Amino acid sequence: MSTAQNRQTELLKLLEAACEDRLSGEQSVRLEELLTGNDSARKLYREYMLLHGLLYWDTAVSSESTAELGEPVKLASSQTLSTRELSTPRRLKKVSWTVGVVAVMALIVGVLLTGDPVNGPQSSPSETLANTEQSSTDQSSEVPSDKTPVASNNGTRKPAEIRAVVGLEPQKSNTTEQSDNSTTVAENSSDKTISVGASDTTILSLVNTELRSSWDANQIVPSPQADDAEWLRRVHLDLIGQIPTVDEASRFLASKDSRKREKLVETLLQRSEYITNWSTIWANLMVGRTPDRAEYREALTKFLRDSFRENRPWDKIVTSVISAEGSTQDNLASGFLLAHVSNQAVPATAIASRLFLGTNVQCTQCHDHPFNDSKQNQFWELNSFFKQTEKVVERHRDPTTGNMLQTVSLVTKPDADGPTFFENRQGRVQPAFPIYNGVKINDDASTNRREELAKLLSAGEKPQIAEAFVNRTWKHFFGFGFTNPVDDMGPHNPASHPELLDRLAREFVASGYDQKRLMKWICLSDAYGRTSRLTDVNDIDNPELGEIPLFSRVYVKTMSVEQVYNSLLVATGVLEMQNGSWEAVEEQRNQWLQQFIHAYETEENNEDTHFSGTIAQALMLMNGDLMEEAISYKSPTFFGNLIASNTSDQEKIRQLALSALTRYPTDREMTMIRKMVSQNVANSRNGQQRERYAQSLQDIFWAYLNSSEFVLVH
Amino acid sequence: MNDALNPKHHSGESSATIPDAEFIKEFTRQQRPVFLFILSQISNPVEAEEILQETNLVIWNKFEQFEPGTNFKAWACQIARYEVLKWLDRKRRDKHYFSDDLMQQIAEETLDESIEWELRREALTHCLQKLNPEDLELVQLRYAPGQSGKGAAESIGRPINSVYQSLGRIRRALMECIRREMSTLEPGT
Repeated sequence: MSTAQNRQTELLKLLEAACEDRLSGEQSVRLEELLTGNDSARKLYREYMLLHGLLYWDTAVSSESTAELGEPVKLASSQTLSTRELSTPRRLKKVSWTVGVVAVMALIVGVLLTGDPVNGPQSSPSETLANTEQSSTDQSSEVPSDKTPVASNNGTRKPAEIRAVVGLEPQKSNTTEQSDNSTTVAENSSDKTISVGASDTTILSLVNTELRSSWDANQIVPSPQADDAEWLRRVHLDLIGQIPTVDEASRFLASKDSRKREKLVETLLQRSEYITNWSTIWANLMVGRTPDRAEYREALTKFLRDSFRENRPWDKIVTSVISAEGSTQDNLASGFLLAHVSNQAVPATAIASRLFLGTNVQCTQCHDHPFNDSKQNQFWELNSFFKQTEKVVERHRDPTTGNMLQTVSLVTKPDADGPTFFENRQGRVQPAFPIYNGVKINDDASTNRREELAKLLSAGEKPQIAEAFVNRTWKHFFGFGFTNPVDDMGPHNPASHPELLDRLAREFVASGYDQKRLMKWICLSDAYGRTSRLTDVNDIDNPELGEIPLFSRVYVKTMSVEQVYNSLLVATGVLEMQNGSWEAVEEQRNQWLQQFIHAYETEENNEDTHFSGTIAQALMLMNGDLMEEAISYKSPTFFGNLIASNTSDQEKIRQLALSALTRYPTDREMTMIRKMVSQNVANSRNGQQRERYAQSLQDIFWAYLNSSEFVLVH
Repeated sequence: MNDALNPKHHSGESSATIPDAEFIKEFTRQQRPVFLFILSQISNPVEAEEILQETNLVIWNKFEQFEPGTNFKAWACQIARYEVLKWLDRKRRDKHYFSDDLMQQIAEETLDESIEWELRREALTHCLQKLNPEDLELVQLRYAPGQSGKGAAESIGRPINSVYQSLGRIRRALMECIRREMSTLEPGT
């Protein structure tokens, strides 16, 4: 999302709150900030207020008389399909490719994009709102003629019509039905009185009920269930960070077991890739990939691997990381603080608060507005817990080799006491005592502040670390969290489903911070099982456009660099070719990933991973020789074996698609590919047919791996 | 001080002229625009209405100062602007409001735009017809006199958050619809 779009989203959110008089002081300050010096923001503000005022002043009266006149409007049939299919394909790097490949690629791209919001003609809310001129002509015939030049039923968004169509489902719901609905909601909400510590089944049905009632409340119909192939690919990528292999896919798709999804989730949670995936995700978040912190990352990754292997409770992980002492040799968990404790522990404070508490306090530490006094205090109070912490560098000589060695350790200073001092906005120096969540701990030197903080973080019925973890994990699977961004929770950014978030957090605590169970609740939920495609009836559920997420579908995500890398290895079967140890694979992977890392030199130790460029580039960057061999028909890899096998053309093509995209080719794809292959073979000289045939299929495989469908988690 | 010697007081008392029909007509006609003008700075319609009442009192008391033939709306809004400032002076202690500069800018821009309000209002009427019955009902409930989103949620027994969500969605849809209508009316913008 662009910043402009984020701003627009934020602005709309704030305007919403303003209309309902629930704008906090801080939000009001923020709104002022957004409006100052920004003409288009002020224009939106004025339009919004005008609407608000008009509704207040005379809507209720004027609409009453006209309500009956509301004409039924037909939904426009999806006429976009044919044009989209002809969309320009991604540019190809490989010159030797046949023209046919381009056509095939266009086709593959087209298949995915039909009904897919992410790569469709994307528009920010402002564009959608403003960009309306071209729309009036195409469908005006469908709209019953009106005296005033009427609202075009623009193809992209048509809330009124959608509502009209949805409205038909509950049989033109009259008032009695309306009240029936609300009683069900009320009954459902009484579920909340069930004590926490419920079974997986109960929790799942709770998740389903909560989401369903929010769909009902917003009068949308969720997307249909995802087919097995879509769900399979998604759950693999989300849980273990890579696509399924051909074998895994064909077994799953062929299975008639009614509980196969459930069983698969159990299996994936036991896979070693699960450990790798989640330790990588958290190592990226906690330390990042910047080379100068590589040593700390390595230690922390090992700690995280151990943690995820044992499914160590999340609060224990946080405790270990926050209270770690010593060098990375003494304690792997010390990697986190060692990486961030410099600079008065400002980065440590900011990152810990963001990751573990889901609150974004770092901006308040430097820049400021009138309502941030308390937040600024909070930041420094949290920071005060790190006051005793020091990074000590020791040099010593290795007794056997005689080389100088250096050890960096986290040390708690024995004599540090009292508050931390910081300069407030007025330039006055203020003390900050170690206070968390209203609890002040003893600030003398005898108290180990970080140990106390660790205790406070997991104290109470529903510690903030639980809610923050649930929110972040939910986002990992759905693409959006209950709050967005996930690490800026708080009254200024209300959750989309506060009851559900609250309940999940409590259940998560009651389960003993069992991450695997939390993931099960998410992966097996009704919503996660739905297709990522937008339908005509839920296209208002579009958080990409700044709407509140309703989770009536799974939002499309772009693969992380790690997911791309791992999935390429899976699709090509390279992993099976290598007999290296985990460390060797990991080392290679890190080297490859390093080129995507851009660290910004800020005092909060931020970094960003950009994945740009085509897969073709990625493939080439990726250990060139190895990859070339991997997709060569001459190698004993997945591809080479497939070509050499006795299966039919059709089956080979099916296997290629399955391997790259976890689905079988569509009929159109199949027809085109076969036509292209046979033409290529026919056009080749005698004696070269075999090679030409293999090359054509290789091109097809490349095309599949190069498609945008490949890099999306959908 | 002798009251009788105070000419102002005296004149106010005895020669109580009454606004003419033209004034009353304009006054009535401009109620909505003045309200909208105030709301652009205050956002809470109930409070905006209170300020409107204050403004009306002043307008009524000062009607003689209005020069017939000049822009009534501009004159009334000027008074309203002053009442908003007075009101803010009292309220700023409990709540954050925009800076004076920003408020002033918004007020000016709002007034500039007020010529197209009538068109926008027509567009809104049209757009409301397109809402489905449930949404329309919710809007009517929410904007019934003295009502709020919270009150609306309570009266229909729906979770407050979901009502806020719905209202937000409906308002965005309406705004979008108004924009569409406006763009078909004035192809220039």
